[in-house]
Amino acid sequence: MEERILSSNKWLGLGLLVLSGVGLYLTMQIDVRTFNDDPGPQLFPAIGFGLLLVCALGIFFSKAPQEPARDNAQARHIEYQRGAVMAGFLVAYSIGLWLVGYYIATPLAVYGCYHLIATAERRVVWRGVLYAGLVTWGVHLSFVSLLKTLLPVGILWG
Amino acid sequence: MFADIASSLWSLLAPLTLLLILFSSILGIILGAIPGLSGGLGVALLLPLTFSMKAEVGLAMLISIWVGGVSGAMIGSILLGIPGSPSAIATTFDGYPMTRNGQAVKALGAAITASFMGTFFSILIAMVASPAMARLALKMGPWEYFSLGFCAISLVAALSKGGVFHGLAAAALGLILASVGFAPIDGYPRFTFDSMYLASGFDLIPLMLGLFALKQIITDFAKGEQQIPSVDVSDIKGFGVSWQEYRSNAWNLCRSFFIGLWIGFLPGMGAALSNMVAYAQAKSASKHPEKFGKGCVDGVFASEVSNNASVGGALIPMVALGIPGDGTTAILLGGLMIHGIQAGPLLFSNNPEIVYALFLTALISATLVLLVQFYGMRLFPLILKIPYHYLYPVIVVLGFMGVFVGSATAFNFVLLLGFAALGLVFDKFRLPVSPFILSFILATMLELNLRRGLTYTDDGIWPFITRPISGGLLLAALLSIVLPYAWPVLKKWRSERTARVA
Repeated sequence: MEERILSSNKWLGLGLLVLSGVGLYLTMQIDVRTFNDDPGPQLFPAIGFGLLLVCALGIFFSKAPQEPARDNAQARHIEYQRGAVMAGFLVAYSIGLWLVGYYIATPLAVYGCYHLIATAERRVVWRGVLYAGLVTWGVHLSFVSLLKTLLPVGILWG
Repeated sequence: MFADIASSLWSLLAPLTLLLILFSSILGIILGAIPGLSGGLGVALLLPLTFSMKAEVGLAMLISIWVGGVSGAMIGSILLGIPGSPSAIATTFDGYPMTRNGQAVKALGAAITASFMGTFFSILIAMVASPAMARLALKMGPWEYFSLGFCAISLVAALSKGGVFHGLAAAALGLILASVGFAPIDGYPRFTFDSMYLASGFDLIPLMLGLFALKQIITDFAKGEQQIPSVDVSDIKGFGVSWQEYRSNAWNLCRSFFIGLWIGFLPGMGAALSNMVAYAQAKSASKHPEKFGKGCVDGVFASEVSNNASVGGALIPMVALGIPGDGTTAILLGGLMIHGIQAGPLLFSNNPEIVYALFLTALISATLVLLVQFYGMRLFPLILKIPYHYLYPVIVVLGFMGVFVGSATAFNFVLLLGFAALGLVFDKFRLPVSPFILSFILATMLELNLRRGLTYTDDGIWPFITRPISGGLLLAALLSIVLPYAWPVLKKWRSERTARVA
């Protein structure tokens, strides 16, 4: 376990090192004429990336604390898979909102989310459908009817 | 002052506003009670709803959710042993054993009354102390403001779990991310890559909703969490705490209250830290420390009075200095800015009605929370039974619509998903979120004051070090970073020296 944390520290250190290197390079490209001893807009990002560089080195060379073993590799693999499914679902919902808008994407997404999270023994299709309709209508009521704000209409129709 | 207070009170006592405060307080309690969610999340979720409201009404809604959330977090801690939010972690240490010992009523009663005392008296102190703090703040220059912000970030980074380097790296990432867009003073577009979406920088709302709400949903789904286990509510009757127990805890309550107020006041600190410190102090000062952790009501009193005292404490720097005391006040500060109100020393002269409305809302909300919790003690466990398959779809939709209504651009969906992914990366690599958010919020203020400080005199960076308050704050920041490394070395050296002498 300790080796795994140490390894993650190394990866984090390396990643931050690359990020700070690229960032410092981009910061150096900022070229602005300033007055009254103003250090200009490059100082602050330079401080940020400089601090990140120091921390990257610190993390890379630091010894990570030992933690008790959490779970086995197979359980972790299933966890990652489930996480990827939910992340994919959220990406799909955002694409749906962008393409077809709120009124089509949201009921589908609410039912989809209900379907995903509820296990087979808890899942009742008509309840999910009813719930999807109620949530879509409730959010519409709050945002459009009460607060007079816009909801996504979708680029395919707009 | 009294005319301003009367005017604010009058506007808050309008039936619709009062109803909104009640509704928001209850919502805060519900969100606070549900592990993984918090009043802070509620504030972030409902911030977009306040865009079209009057500033006082919108802020009343947000403040009430916050107050309800801090107080409601103890419900999960006591009944299930799962803290509703980090502010109630220490409540779990004795609250849950009390429930297991059949003293759920006493634990809940102690927590409810301590929560009320903490919030109510801290707000009263904030009302009195904030104008004085504002006058003092007016004497501060860009050097002190920069050092104050820097000190806050350093303290939070140093106290974060995962080590100082992890905390500072997260803070640096926040500073970098806030650098995207037009720079202050000269308006130079930085790291925008000629994209119009990046020109105005990253919005706070997708950052908050992505890092907290969406990340939590992905994590819970990945772990296969469905619902919180059921709770036996058969013994819940009244407050269940005797006057003798209140009297014997008077000093404990006072000490914990001031710990909470002080930690809440320190920029960047908050209820998440104060409850732990107050609990530790209560245990170390107790005549019966062996009872702590086994169901001692003193621990519940200490934790709950301190985390709620942080509410008033955190409002002082937010109102008087324009610096958020914790993550939630950072969002509240964002709420003020969205309504065109600049928190800080001039707020008292420019918008006194907003300041007093803010404090009075917290007082009203604390009173309503006390009543709701007293009468709703039997219902709390039912709230905890809401299965995630009903709860999370609503949060997903509110999250996506929340980021959309502010700018009406689908690019915010990308940001929302991006920040959720960033939250997962932070979890994976043990990077703390608090210094990241704090530095993201404070970055513009820091940069502006750093550049102003450097241009106001010909002495370069020296005034930052030589001016007493600024120098003191920088020294505190330096010590907060160095001490975690130096202290063990010093302790080892002292013990070796003692051993040699012996």
